[in-house]
Amino acid sequence: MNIEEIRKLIEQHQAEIDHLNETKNQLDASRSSMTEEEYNRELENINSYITAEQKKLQENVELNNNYQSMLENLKKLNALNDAVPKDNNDRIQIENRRVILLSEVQKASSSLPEQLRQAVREEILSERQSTQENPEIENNNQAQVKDTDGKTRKEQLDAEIIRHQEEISHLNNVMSQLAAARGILSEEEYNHERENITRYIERENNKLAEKIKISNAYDNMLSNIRKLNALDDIIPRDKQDEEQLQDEKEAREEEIKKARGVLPEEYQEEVRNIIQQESLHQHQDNQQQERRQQNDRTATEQMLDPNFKPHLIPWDEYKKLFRQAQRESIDNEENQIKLNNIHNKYKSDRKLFQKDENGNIICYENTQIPRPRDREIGEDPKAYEEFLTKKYGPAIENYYKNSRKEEQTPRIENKNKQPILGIEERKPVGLIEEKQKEKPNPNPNPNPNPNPNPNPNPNPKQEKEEVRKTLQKIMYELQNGLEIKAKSGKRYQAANIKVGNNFKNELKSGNVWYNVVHFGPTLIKSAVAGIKKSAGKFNLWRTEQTHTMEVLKERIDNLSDNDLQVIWEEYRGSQVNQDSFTSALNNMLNDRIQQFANKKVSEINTKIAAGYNQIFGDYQIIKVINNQLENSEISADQRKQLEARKQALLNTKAQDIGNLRKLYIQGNNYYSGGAHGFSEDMKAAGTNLSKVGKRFAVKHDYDDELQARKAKLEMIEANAVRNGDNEQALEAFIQYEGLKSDETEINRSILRGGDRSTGKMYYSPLVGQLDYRDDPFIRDVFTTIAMVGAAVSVANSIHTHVTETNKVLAEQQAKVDQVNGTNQSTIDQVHQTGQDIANHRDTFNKGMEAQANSDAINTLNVGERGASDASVNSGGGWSSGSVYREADEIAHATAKKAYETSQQQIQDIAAQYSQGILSQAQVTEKLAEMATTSHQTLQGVIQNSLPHFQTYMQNHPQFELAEVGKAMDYLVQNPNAISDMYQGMVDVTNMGESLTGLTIEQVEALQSLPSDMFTTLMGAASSAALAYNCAKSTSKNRSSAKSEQEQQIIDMVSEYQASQQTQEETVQKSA
Amino acid sequence: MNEEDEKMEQLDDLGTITIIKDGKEVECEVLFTFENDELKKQYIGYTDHSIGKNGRKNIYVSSYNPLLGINKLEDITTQEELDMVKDVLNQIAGEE
Repeated sequence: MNIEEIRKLIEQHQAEIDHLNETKNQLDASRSSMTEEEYNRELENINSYITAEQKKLQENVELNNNYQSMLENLKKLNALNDAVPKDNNDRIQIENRRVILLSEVQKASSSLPEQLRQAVREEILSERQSTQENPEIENNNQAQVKDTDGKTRKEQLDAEIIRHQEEISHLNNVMSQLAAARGILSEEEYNHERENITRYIERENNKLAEKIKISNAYDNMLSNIRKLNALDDIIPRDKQDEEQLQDEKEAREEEIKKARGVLPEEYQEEVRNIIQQESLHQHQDNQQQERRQQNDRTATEQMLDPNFKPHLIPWDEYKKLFRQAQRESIDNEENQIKLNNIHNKYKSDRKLFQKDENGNIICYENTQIPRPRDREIGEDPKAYEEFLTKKYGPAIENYYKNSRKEEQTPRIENKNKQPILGIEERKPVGLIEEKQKEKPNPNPNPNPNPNPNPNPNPNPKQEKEEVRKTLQKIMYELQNGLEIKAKSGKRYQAANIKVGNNFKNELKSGNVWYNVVHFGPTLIKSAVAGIKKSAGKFNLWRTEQTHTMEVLKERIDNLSDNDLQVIWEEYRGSQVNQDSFTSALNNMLNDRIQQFANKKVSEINTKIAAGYNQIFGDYQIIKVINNQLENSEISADQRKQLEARKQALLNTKAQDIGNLRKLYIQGNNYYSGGAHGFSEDMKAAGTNLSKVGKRFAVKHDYDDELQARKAKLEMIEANAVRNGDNEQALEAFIQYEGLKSDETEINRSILRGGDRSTGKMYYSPLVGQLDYRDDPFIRDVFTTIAMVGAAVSVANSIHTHVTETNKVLAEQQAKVDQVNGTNQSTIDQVHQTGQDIANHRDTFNKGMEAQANSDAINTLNVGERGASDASVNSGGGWSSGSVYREADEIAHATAKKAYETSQQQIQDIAAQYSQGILSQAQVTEKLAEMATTSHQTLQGVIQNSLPHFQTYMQNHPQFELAEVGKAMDYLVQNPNAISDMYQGMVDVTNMGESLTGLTIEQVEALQSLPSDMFTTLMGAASSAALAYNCAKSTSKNRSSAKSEQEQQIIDMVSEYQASQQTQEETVQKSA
Repeated sequence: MNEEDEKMEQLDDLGTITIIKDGKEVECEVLFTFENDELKKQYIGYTDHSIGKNGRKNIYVSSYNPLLGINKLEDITTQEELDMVKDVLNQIAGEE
């Protein structure tokens, strides 16, 4: 019988006893109905049953209690076995406790049948097994080195070994105690206990041996892996070392293999984790050590170190280092300048490493050092640095050494070089050839004086000549190595811009429109820490940019006269736009060129003055000679001498006077046309208002690499032309044209609309081909402006004219006709002007600059006003009367003011757009804002006029003006009706064709309106028609033969480029 | 990191400021910040997500002197500063 059955029996006994007691109660209850005898017999039976059941219950309860006692005490004993005594007293206490518990176990055990005793033991063993297995199950789920108690598997294993050893020791003690108690136990009990204890000891010994084996294998594997790793770091000195090392490694690997054969997988995993962590820690320690060594020096010290090698540092890390150095040197201007010099020099050098457009590696100038490849994504910076050092370090070092030597060695001037044959110095347009005297004489002196000092040089004239630099070469030398930004030199420039991603995306998408509001001083209650800035960083950026500008200015100031002459001649007009140099450079060049031109003018003025002196002096002498010649008393010889002298004086006068006139023209060209023209070119390029339309090109920072390529190709071409090297000239020409063509990428811009160059240049092989007419958005602007006026007109037409009864018009037809006549003629005039503008490019240019053609509209406005006033002043007009005059004056004054404001706003918006300040979206937005404002003004006019108008209506019942009043009232009541229309302007670019009809219809409707307020609005409608006509003719002009000619050239270059690329790809594939 | 990235730093969140507007505390989202070394001012663009009469979201642009801390925002007073703000907005919109 097992314990569970016993426990069921206990329950059954208890239930039976309860039942018998209940039966006994029932018997008592029915006692009166039975005899005494029957009652006593039944009672006795029940009591006997109860007694029997209680006895059985007692026996089973005792069995259960003993079972439980034995089980609990054995558990306590096991727990005691796990207890680690802190000291000797603790150990004694544990032993005493163990004796007591053992006694209790023996006592309970003796009261239990063997079956239950065995059951207790099995339960205990089962529990032990589960407690030993559970931690392993938990640990298997963790790939960590330590478990939740912070112990490794190995530590747990060692603890278990100790426990097993203690258990064995304990069991040996129990065996001794058993022997001592042999006398009080039966032989059977003694033998039984002895066998049990012996079996326990045997089992513990087996477990101990197994765990010791695992523990040893663990230690063995760990130590041998560590040794193996250590061996990997050893660099053998010779062959013998290498062999020994190899043997040692093999021995270690064999040991590891053996250990693996013994170690369970979870222990092997733990060993691997330990090794991995050790490696990681060691790596981190090494890195920390390296960092500590690096951190011992500041970034500034590192960068200012003469041995600093920026080219061996990955670019990202270099930039961090540079910025750190900037921060450190914030109060040290000297260091800032040094750092900026190093930075500029390195950036300049670094750009020389760039690949060209075909992916070919570009070397340092005059070297064969290829550009090191960039660090690949995910590549370890250390590995990349090692790669650079090993592969390119020595070569780059040599380059830097050579560079330093070159810097220390004075440059050899070009004049000492062998001059190139065939070079002829070019002179500026309009300059008198100073070498005219050296021109071949048609009457050569038959007896030339032999040269007393013959020059051994066969071509002495060429020795004085310098190779004329090309424009691009000069520009390259000016800007080389400088970090010139597109906005360099501007008055105020934002720095350190931080923007939230959401806002940037919204702004970029153009889907969300904003009002930019700036209001008065505002108190801040709280702010996030992120936007609190230190003021210290301000100085740094300025210093770097200021330094760059100072260097640029110094270079420009030091330009030679020859270089200035090249710039003077070639950097003009469309060339300024084509090359897209920064405005800072252009502004500084302008100042320098003005000096240059003034100097030239001064020189010419000196020559002119000398020429005048000569001529007037000679003239005085000639006058004296003439007087003498009139004297009849002089001798024939004297007369002959005088005439000869006079002739000599007159001899070169025509030429002198001609030269004087040419000098004047030349000076004038330098001054008025030249200097002023140059200034205008720079201004036009700077403000983007150039006729050439630079607005449509993208602004770029100065591109050192591109400029270097342009300078190189242009110099090759120029030298080849000078040398008469046809083949090289042709090759350079094709390459240069190809480069410029490639860098001019005409694309349709999403942001601003229209075709424009998104490349780094804005080049056209023909002069002035790419201009504002390439931008369809110009047409859109016109159309949009037109739509604003048209929208206002439409609203008035619908709500005023349409709702107004025709009676008003009928009654006042004569007067209206007069107004209409004036209006119609003015409109015709406007349309004629529009036609003229469309037919004449120059006129159109003016129209473009005048933007909304305000002159034409103002003419219309004034004319109509005059006509209206004349009508009113004639006396019999329907609009006579003080009330109406009052209303009309208010309306007129307000509307005129609003109209002028709108006109000004349109002009401002168009001007800002043409300067590139506003984007397409912003223009549309601003026009819509303007329209809204105009509408609000119109609302104001109507509101102000309405009371007066109502009074007027009451006083003039002959006029049925109630509908006009209703219309005005409608506008007041529905203020959003027109505003909503304005929102449709965004789609206006697709409505161009329908605009014509709309406008004409509107003009016709407006002609009948009774107030010049509305005629003012009609002017806007006329403006719309004009603008639309301009836009249409602009579109036609673009398809002219001239642009086709240009396109042919572009196509030729493109085809050449494409064929070259195909050819190169074929060569590469075949290779 | 390219040159454009160097000029402008994009962040997921620039945080908020709480301003006193018409006597009430209004929490505003910071949209952008920048600085100018010549004027030695910091600029901040923020919005309370209010919508203007024309249906567009209002952005407020103010400046403050970093030396005095960001306790008080100042109005932008000059055309040059306004131009700079426009430049920044154009740059953010990718127009420059």
